[in-house]
Amino acid sequence: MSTAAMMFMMLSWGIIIILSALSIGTIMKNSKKR
Amino acid sequence: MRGGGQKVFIFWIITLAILWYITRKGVNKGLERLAKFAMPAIYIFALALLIRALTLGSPVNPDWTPIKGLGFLWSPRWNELSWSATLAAAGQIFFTLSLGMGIIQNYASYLKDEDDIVTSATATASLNEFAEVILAGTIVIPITFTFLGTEGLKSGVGLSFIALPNVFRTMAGGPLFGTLWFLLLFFAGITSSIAMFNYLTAFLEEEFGVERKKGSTFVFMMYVLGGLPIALEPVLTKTADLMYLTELDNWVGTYFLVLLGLIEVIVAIWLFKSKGLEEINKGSYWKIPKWFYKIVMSFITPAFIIILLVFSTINYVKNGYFKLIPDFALGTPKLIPWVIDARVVLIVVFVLSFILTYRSISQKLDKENGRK
Repeated sequence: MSTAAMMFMMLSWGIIIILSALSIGTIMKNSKKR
Repeated sequence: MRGGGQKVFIFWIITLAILWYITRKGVNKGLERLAKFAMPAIYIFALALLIRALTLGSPVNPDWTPIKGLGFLWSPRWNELSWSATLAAAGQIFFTLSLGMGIIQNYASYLKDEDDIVTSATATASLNEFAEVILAGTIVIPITFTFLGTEGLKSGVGLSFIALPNVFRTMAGGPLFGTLWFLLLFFAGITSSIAMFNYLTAFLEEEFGVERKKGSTFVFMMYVLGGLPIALEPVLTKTADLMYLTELDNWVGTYFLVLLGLIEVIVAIWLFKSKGLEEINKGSYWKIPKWFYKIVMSFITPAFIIILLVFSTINYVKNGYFKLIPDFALGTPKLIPWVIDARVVLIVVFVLSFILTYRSISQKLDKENGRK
Protein backbone atom coordinates (compact mmCIF):
# COMPACT_ATOMS: atom_id res chain seq x y z
CA MET A 1 0.00 0.00 0.00
CA SER A 2 1.52 3.32 -1.08
CA THR A 3 1.98 6.22 1.34
CA ALA A 4 -0.47 8.36 -0.67
CA ALA A 5 -3.16 5.66 -0.50
CA MET A 6 -2.52 5.20 3.23
CA MET A 7 -2.82 8.97 3.85
CA PHE A 8 -6.02 9.15 1.80
CA MET A 9 -7.52 6.23 3.73
CA MET A 10 -6.50 7.59 7.13
CA LEU A 11 -7.87 11.06 6.33
CA SER A 12 -11.24 9.65 5.18
CA TRP A 13 -11.48 7.25 8.12
CA GLY A 14 -10.48 10.04 10.53
CA ILE A 15 -13.21 12.42 9.38
CA ILE A 16 -15.86 9.67 9.50
CA ILE A 17 -14.80 8.38 12.94
CA ILE A 18 -14.61 11.87 14.50
CA LEU A 19 -18.04 12.88 13.14
CA SER A 20 -19.61 9.56 14.21
CA ALA A 21 -18.15 9.77 17.72
CA LEU A 22 -19.06 13.44 18.20
CA SER A 23 -22.64 13.08 16.99
CA ILE A 24 -23.36 9.86 18.86
CA GLY A 25 -21.71 11.32 21.97
CA THR A 26 -23.88 14.45 21.74
CA ILE A 27 -27.06 12.44 21.23
CA MET A 28 -26.28 10.18 24.21
CA LYS A 29 -25.39 13.14 26.44
CA ASN A 30 -28.58 14.99 25.54
CA SER A 31 -30.82 11.95 25.88
CA LYS A 32 -29.64 11.56 29.49
CA LYS A 33 -30.56 15.18 30.22
CA ARG A 34 -34.15 14.76 28.97
CA MET B 1 -38.77 -23.18 -13.66
CA ARG B 2 -35.24 -24.32 -12.81
CA GLY B 3 -34.22 -25.08 -9.23
CA GLY B 4 -32.11 -21.93 -8.74
CA GLY B 5 -34.74 -19.60 -10.13
CA GLN B 6 -37.42 -21.21 -8.02
CA LYS B 7 -35.36 -20.70 -4.86
CA VAL B 8 -34.75 -17.02 -5.65
CA PHE B 9 -38.45 -16.60 -6.29
CA ILE B 10 -39.48 -18.28 -3.03
CA PHE B 11 -37.04 -16.28 -0.90
CA TRP B 12 -38.08 -13.05 -2.58
CA ILE B 13 -41.73 -13.75 -1.70
CA ILE B 14 -40.71 -14.67 1.90
CA THR B 15 -38.82 -11.36 2.24
CA LEU B 16 -41.78 -9.40 0.92
CA ALA B 17 -44.09 -11.25 3.30
CA ILE B 18 -41.82 -10.29 6.24
CA LEU B 19 -41.98 -6.65 5.11
CA TRP B 20 -45.73 -6.86 4.79
CA TYR B 21 -46.04 -8.34 8.29
CA ILE B 22 -43.82 -5.67 9.88
CA THR B 23 -45.60 -2.80 8.14
CA ARG B 24 -49.04 -4.15 9.06
CA LYS B 25 -48.06 -3.85 12.71
CA GLY B 26 -47.30 -0.13 12.33
CA VAL B 27 -43.87 1.22 11.64
CA ASN B 28 -42.89 2.32 15.11
CA LYS B 29 -43.36 -1.03 16.83
CA GLY B 30 -42.07 -3.08 13.92
CA LEU B 31 -39.07 -0.89 13.27
CA GLU B 32 -38.17 -0.60 16.94
CA ARG B 33 -38.33 -4.34 17.46
CA LEU B 34 -36.15 -4.99 14.42
CA ALA B 35 -33.73 -2.09 14.85
CA LYS B 36 -32.96 -2.89 18.49
CA PHE B 37 -31.78 -6.31 17.43
CA ALA B 38 -30.56 -5.80 13.88
CA MET B 39 -28.56 -2.59 14.14
CA PRO B 40 -26.07 -3.66 16.85
CA ALA B 41 -25.94 -7.10 15.17
CA ILE B 42 -24.84 -5.51 11.86
CA TYR B 43 -21.88 -3.80 13.53
CA ILE B 44 -20.85 -6.91 15.49
CA PHE B 45 -21.05 -9.14 12.37
CA ALA B 46 -19.12 -6.56 10.38
CA LEU B 47 -16.35 -6.28 12.97
CA ALA B 48 -15.94 -10.07 13.03
CA LEU B 49 -15.76 -10.15 9.24
CA LEU B 50 -13.34 -7.23 9.13
CA ILE B 51 -10.88 -9.04 11.41
CA ARG B 52 -11.23 -12.20 9.29
CA ALA B 53 -10.73 -10.22 6.07
CA LEU B 54 -7.51 -8.62 7.26
CA THR B 55 -6.05 -11.89 8.57
CA LEU B 56 -6.57 -13.94 5.40
CA GLY B 57 -2.90 -13.92 4.38
CA SER B 58 -2.32 -14.79 0.71
CA PRO B 59 -3.78 -18.27 0.09
CA VAL B 60 -4.08 -18.01 -3.71
CA ASN B 61 -1.27 -15.79 -4.99
CA PRO B 62 1.60 -14.39 -2.88
CA ASP B 63 0.94 -10.98 -4.47
CA TRP B 64 -2.74 -10.95 -3.51
CA THR B 65 -2.83 -9.83 0.14
CA PRO B 66 -5.69 -8.08 1.99
CA ILE B 67 -3.53 -4.95 2.53
CA LYS B 68 -2.77 -4.74 -1.20
CA GLY B 69 -6.55 -4.94 -1.75
CA LEU B 70 -6.96 -1.93 0.54
CA GLY B 71 -4.17 -0.21 -1.42
CA PHE B 72 -6.16 -0.82 -4.63
CA LEU B 73 -9.30 0.66 -3.04
CA TRP B 74 -7.60 3.81 -1.74
CA SER B 75 -5.25 4.64 -4.64
CA PRO B 76 -7.03 7.33 -6.68
CA ARG B 77 -7.08 6.55 -10.43
CA TRP B 78 -7.93 10.00 -11.79
CA ASN B 79 -7.94 8.75 -15.40
CA GLU B 80 -10.93 6.53 -14.61
CA LEU B 81 -12.98 9.42 -13.19
CA SER B 82 -15.99 10.12 -15.45
CA TRP B 83 -19.42 11.75 -15.27
CA SER B 84 -21.17 8.39 -15.35
CA ALA B 85 -19.01 7.21 -12.40
CA THR B 86 -19.77 10.46 -10.56
CA LEU B 87 -23.50 10.06 -11.20
CA ALA B 88 -23.35 6.44 -10.05
CA ALA B 89 -21.55 7.56 -6.86
CA ALA B 90 -24.09 10.36 -6.29
CA GLY B 91 -26.93 7.90 -6.93
CA GLN B 92 -25.38 5.49 -4.43
CA ILE B 93 -25.07 8.11 -1.69
CA PHE B 94 -28.56 9.49 -2.36
CA PHE B 95 -29.94 5.95 -2.26
CA THR B 96 -28.09 4.90 0.87
CA LEU B 97 -29.13 8.02 2.78
CA SER B 98 -32.68 7.70 1.38
CA LEU B 99 -32.53 11.15 -0.26
CA GLY B 100 -34.65 12.10 -3.27
CA MET B 101 -37.27 9.40 -2.71
CA GLY B 102 -39.57 10.80 -0.02
CA ILE B 103 -38.36 8.54 2.81
CA ILE B 104 -36.67 11.36 4.75
CA GLN B 105 -39.92 13.35 4.57
CA ASN B 106 -41.79 10.32 5.89
CA TYR B 107 -39.36 9.95 8.80
CA ALA B 108 -39.37 13.73 9.38
CA SER B 109 -43.15 13.64 9.79
CA TYR B 110 -42.64 11.46 12.89
CA LEU B 111 -40.34 14.09 14.50
CA LYS B 112 -41.49 16.45 17.20
CA ASP B 113 -40.95 20.18 16.93
CA GLU B 114 -38.07 20.24 19.40
CA ASP B 115 -36.25 17.15 18.07
CA ASP B 116 -32.59 17.64 17.19
CA ILE B 117 -32.29 17.55 13.39
CA VAL B 118 -28.66 18.68 12.98
CA THR B 119 -27.09 16.09 15.29
CA SER B 120 -29.37 13.28 14.07
CA ALA B 121 -28.54 14.08 10.43
CA THR B 122 -24.80 14.18 11.18
CA ALA B 123 -25.03 10.88 13.08
CA THR B 124 -27.03 9.26 10.25
CA ALA B 125 -24.62 10.34 7.52
CA SER B 126 -21.41 9.60 9.44
CA LEU B 127 -22.54 6.21 10.83
CA ASN B 128 -23.69 5.25 7.35
CA GLU B 129 -20.25 6.09 5.99
CA PHE B 130 -18.67 4.23 8.92
CA ALA B 131 -20.61 1.11 7.92
CA GLU B 132 -20.05 1.46 4.18
CA VAL B 133 -16.64 3.05 3.73
CA ILE B 134 -14.79 1.73 6.76
CA LEU B 135 -16.49 -1.61 7.50
CA ALA B 136 -17.84 -2.80 4.14
CA GLY B 137 -14.91 -1.36 2.18
CA THR B 138 -12.43 -3.16 4.43
CA ILE B 139 -14.39 -6.43 4.19
CA VAL B 140 -15.46 -6.79 0.55
CA ILE B 141 -12.45 -5.39 -1.29
CA PRO B 142 -9.65 -7.19 0.64
CA ILE B 143 -11.51 -10.55 0.63
CA THR B 144 -12.24 -10.38 -3.09
CA PHE B 145 -8.73 -9.15 -3.93
CA THR B 146 -7.10 -11.89 -1.83
CA PHE B 147 -8.95 -14.65 -3.69
CA LEU B 148 -9.56 -13.19 -7.15
CA GLY B 149 -7.11 -10.29 -7.63
CA THR B 150 -7.97 -7.05 -9.46
CA GLU B 151 -10.02 -8.94 -12.09
CA GLY B 152 -12.39 -10.11 -9.35
CA LEU B 153 -12.98 -6.53 -8.25
CA LYS B 154 -14.33 -5.58 -11.65
CA SER B 155 -17.54 -7.58 -11.25
CA GLY B 156 -19.44 -4.49 -9.97
CA VAL B 157 -22.89 -5.21 -8.53
CA GLY B 158 -22.09 -8.91 -8.70
CA LEU B 159 -19.24 -8.46 -6.22
CA SER B 160 -21.38 -9.26 -3.18
CA PHE B 161 -23.54 -11.88 -4.81
CA ILE B 162 -21.22 -13.67 -7.22
CA ALA B 163 -17.57 -13.13 -6.23
CA LEU B 164 -18.01 -13.30 -2.47
CA PRO B 165 -20.04 -16.56 -2.29
CA ASN B 166 -17.26 -18.25 -4.29
CA VAL B 167 -14.70 -16.83 -1.91
CA PHE B 168 -16.63 -17.97 1.17
CA ARG B 169 -16.89 -21.45 -0.32
CA THR B 170 -13.11 -21.81 -0.44
CA MET B 171 -11.86 -19.86 2.58
CA ALA B 172 -11.29 -21.32 6.05
CA GLY B 173 -14.39 -20.72 8.21
CA GLY B 174 -16.18 -19.71 5.00
CA PRO B 175 -19.64 -21.15 5.81
CA LEU B 176 -19.72 -19.25 9.13
CA PHE B 177 -18.44 -15.96 7.74
CA GLY B 178 -20.55 -16.30 4.61
CA THR B 179 -23.68 -16.75 6.72
CA LEU B 180 -22.73 -13.72 8.82
CA TRP B 181 -22.13 -11.62 5.70
CA PHE B 182 -25.43 -12.45 4.04
CA LEU B 183 -27.36 -12.01 7.30
CA LEU B 184 -25.74 -8.58 7.50
CA LEU B 185 -26.79 -7.72 3.94
CA PHE B 186 -30.27 -9.01 4.70
CA PHE B 187 -30.65 -6.78 7.78
CA ALA B 188 -29.26 -3.77 5.93
CA GLY B 189 -31.64 -4.40 3.03
CA ILE B 190 -34.74 -5.11 5.05
CA THR B 191 -34.45 -2.00 7.24
CA SER B 192 -34.27 0.17 4.09
CA SER B 193 -37.12 -1.76 2.51
CA ILE B 194 -39.31 -1.16 5.56
CA ALA B 195 -38.85 2.59 5.09
CA MET B 196 -39.84 2.32 1.43
CA PHE B 197 -42.77 0.03 2.17
CA ASN B 198 -43.96 2.13 5.08
CA TYR B 199 -44.21 5.50 3.45
CA LEU B 200 -46.47 4.14 0.74
CA THR B 201 -48.69 2.54 3.38
CA ALA B 202 -48.63 5.74 5.47
CA PHE B 203 -49.53 7.78 2.37
CA LEU B 204 -52.58 5.60 1.66
CA GLU B 205 -53.56 5.66 5.34
CA GLU B 206 -53.19 9.36 5.99
CA GLU B 207 -54.32 10.81 2.68
CA PHE B 208 -57.05 8.43 1.62
CA GLY B 209 -58.12 6.85 4.91
CA VAL B 210 -57.11 3.34 3.78
CA GLU B 211 -56.81 1.14 6.85
CA ARG B 212 -53.13 0.25 7.55
CA LYS B 213 -53.69 -3.51 7.18
CA LYS B 214 -55.47 -3.11 3.84
CA GLY B 215 -52.97 -0.50 2.69
CA SER B 216 -49.97 -2.68 3.43
CA THR B 217 -51.60 -5.61 1.61
CA PHE B 218 -52.17 -3.35 -1.40
CA VAL B 219 -48.53 -2.17 -1.33
CA PHE B 220 -47.41 -5.81 -0.97
CA MET B 221 -49.35 -6.74 -4.10
CA MET B 222 -47.92 -3.76 -6.02
CA TYR B 223 -44.42 -4.80 -4.96
CA VAL B 224 -45.00 -8.34 -6.21
CA LEU B 225 -46.38 -7.01 -9.51
CA GLY B 226 -43.56 -4.50 -10.05
CA GLY B 227 -40.80 -6.84 -8.90
CA LEU B 228 -42.02 -9.99 -10.60
CA PRO B 229 -40.15 -9.31 -13.88
CA ILE B 230 -36.83 -9.17 -11.95
CA ALA B 231 -37.41 -12.71 -10.73
CA LEU B 232 -38.91 -13.97 -13.99
CA GLU B 233 -36.43 -12.51 -16.51
CA PRO B 234 -33.45 -14.79 -15.76
CA VAL B 235 -35.72 -17.83 -15.49
CA LEU B 236 -37.70 -17.29 -18.69
CA THR B 237 -34.87 -16.00 -20.88
CA LYS B 238 -32.04 -18.09 -19.33
CA THR B 239 -29.84 -14.97 -19.23
CA ALA B 240 -28.13 -13.14 -16.38
CA ASP B 241 -28.24 -9.60 -17.80
CA LEU B 242 -31.14 -8.45 -15.59
CA MET B 243 -32.18 -5.86 -18.18
CA TYR B 244 -35.45 -4.99 -16.41
CA LEU B 245 -33.60 -4.21 -13.18
CA THR B 246 -30.78 -2.42 -15.03
CA GLU B 247 -33.19 -0.11 -16.83
CA LEU B 248 -35.12 0.65 -13.62
CA ASP B 249 -31.83 1.33 -11.83
CA ASN B 250 -30.59 3.62 -14.63
CA TRP B 251 -33.51 5.92 -13.91
CA VAL B 252 -34.98 5.29 -10.45
CA GLY B 253 -31.79 4.26 -8.66
CA THR B 254 -29.54 6.89 -10.24
CA TYR B 255 -30.80 9.70 -12.45
CA PHE B 256 -34.16 10.48 -10.83
CA LEU B 257 -32.72 10.33 -7.31
CA VAL B 258 -30.36 13.17 -8.16
CA LEU B 259 -33.05 15.09 -10.07
CA LEU B 260 -35.55 14.73 -7.22
CA GLY B 261 -32.78 15.62 -4.74
CA LEU B 262 -32.31 18.89 -6.62
CA ILE B 263 -36.05 19.61 -6.38
CA GLU B 264 -35.92 18.82 -2.63
CA VAL B 265 -33.03 21.26 -2.11
CA ILE B 266 -34.81 23.99 -4.06
CA VAL B 267 -38.04 23.51 -2.10
CA ALA B 268 -36.37 23.18 1.31
CA ILE B 269 -33.77 25.93 0.97
CA TRP B 270 -34.83 28.38 -1.70
CA LEU B 271 -38.60 28.42 -1.16
CA PHE B 272 -38.48 28.40 2.64
CA LYS B 273 -35.59 30.93 2.68
CA SER B 274 -34.42 31.84 6.22
CA LYS B 275 -37.39 29.99 7.76
CA GLY B 276 -35.63 26.80 6.67
CA LEU B 277 -32.60 27.60 8.81
CA GLU B 278 -34.83 28.45 11.79
CA GLU B 279 -36.61 25.10 11.46
CA ILE B 280 -33.36 23.16 11.15
CA ASN B 281 -31.81 24.80 14.21
CA LYS B 282 -34.92 24.60 16.40
CA GLY B 283 -34.14 22.19 19.25
CA SER B 284 -30.73 21.31 17.77
CA TYR B 285 -27.71 21.11 20.06
CA TRP B 286 -25.35 21.99 17.22
CA LYS B 287 -26.50 25.00 15.19
CA ILE B 288 -25.97 25.42 11.45
CA PRO B 289 -24.28 28.84 11.01
CA LYS B 290 -25.98 31.35 8.74
CA TRP B 291 -22.98 31.55 6.37
CA PHE B 292 -23.00 27.76 5.92
CA TYR B 293 -26.70 27.81 5.12
CA LYS B 294 -26.31 30.73 2.69
CA ILE B 295 -23.16 29.57 0.91
CA VAL B 296 -23.01 25.77 1.12
CA MET B 297 -26.65 24.69 1.39
CA SER B 298 -28.22 27.43 -0.77
CA PHE B 299 -25.55 27.74 -3.42
CA ILE B 300 -22.81 25.09 -3.56
CA THR B 301 -25.09 22.04 -3.05
CA PRO B 302 -27.65 22.90 -5.78
CA ALA B 303 -24.85 24.11 -8.10
CA PHE B 304 -23.03 20.79 -7.71
CA ILE B 305 -26.21 18.81 -8.37
CA ILE B 306 -27.05 20.95 -11.44
CA ILE B 307 -23.55 20.51 -12.94
CA LEU B 308 -23.72 16.78 -12.25
CA LEU B 309 -27.17 16.50 -13.86
CA VAL B 310 -26.20 18.49 -16.97
CA PHE B 311 -23.08 16.40 -17.67
CA SER B 312 -24.86 13.16 -16.79
CA THR B 313 -27.70 14.02 -19.16
CA ILE B 314 -25.17 14.62 -21.96
CA ASN B 315 -23.60 11.29 -21.05
CA TYR B 316 -26.99 9.50 -21.04
CA VAL B 317 -27.82 10.98 -24.48
CA LYS B 318 -24.41 9.94 -25.87
CA ASN B 319 -24.84 6.39 -24.58
CA GLY B 320 -28.32 6.14 -26.08
CA TYR B 321 -30.25 5.81 -22.79
CA PHE B 322 -32.91 8.24 -24.03
CA LYS B 323 -33.62 6.26 -27.22
CA LEU B 324 -36.81 4.21 -27.56
CA ILE B 325 -34.60 1.12 -27.52
CA PRO B 326 -31.49 2.03 -25.53
CA ASP B 327 -28.10 1.15 -27.04
CA PHE B 328 -27.14 -1.25 -24.24
CA ALA B 329 -30.10 -3.51 -25.13
CA LEU B 330 -29.39 -3.65 -28.90
CA GLY B 331 -26.89 -6.50 -28.53
CA THR B 332 -29.51 -8.80 -26.97
CA PRO B 333 -32.75 -8.38 -28.97
CA LYS B 334 -34.65 -11.01 -26.96
CA LEU B 335 -34.21 -8.87 -23.83
CA ILE B 336 -35.63 -5.66 -25.39
CA PRO B 337 -39.22 -6.42 -24.18
CA TRP B 338 -37.88 -6.44 -20.59
CA VAL B 339 -36.44 -2.96 -21.05
CA ILE B 340 -39.73 -1.72 -22.52
CA ASP B 341 -41.56 -3.40 -19.63
CA ALA B 342 -39.38 -1.45 -17.15
CA ARG B 343 -40.24 1.80 -18.92
CA VAL B 344 -43.96 1.05 -18.87
CA VAL B 345 -43.79 0.31 -15.12
CA LEU B 346 -41.86 3.57 -14.60
CA ILE B 347 -44.41 5.64 -16.50
CA VAL B 348 -47.41 3.99 -14.78
CA VAL B 349 -45.89 4.51 -11.31
CA PHE B 350 -44.97 8.11 -12.14
CA VAL B 351 -48.40 9.03 -13.50
CA LEU B 352 -50.21 7.25 -10.64
CA SER B 353 -48.04 8.92 -7.97
CA PHE B 354 -48.44 12.30 -9.64
CA ILE B 355 -52.25 12.04 -9.69
CA LEU B 356 -52.47 10.77 -6.09
CA THR B 357 -50.02 13.36 -4.73
CA TYR B 358 -51.69 16.17 -6.67
CA ARG B 359 -55.10 15.14 -5.33
CA SER B 360 -53.89 14.94 -1.76
CA ILE B 361 -52.11 18.32 -1.90
CA SER B 362 -55.08 20.07 -3.48
CA GLN B 363 -57.43 18.53 -0.88
CA LYS B 364 -55.16 19.89 1.86
CA LEU B 365 -55.07 23.34 0.25
CA ASP B 366 -58.88 23.34 -0.09
CA LYS B 367 -59.24 22.45 3.59
CA GLU B 368 -56.83 25.22 4.60
CA ASN B 369 -58.59 27.78 2.42
CA GLY B 370 -61.95 26.63 3.77
CA ARG B 371 -60.76 27.22 7.30
CA LYS B 372 -59.73 30.76 6.48
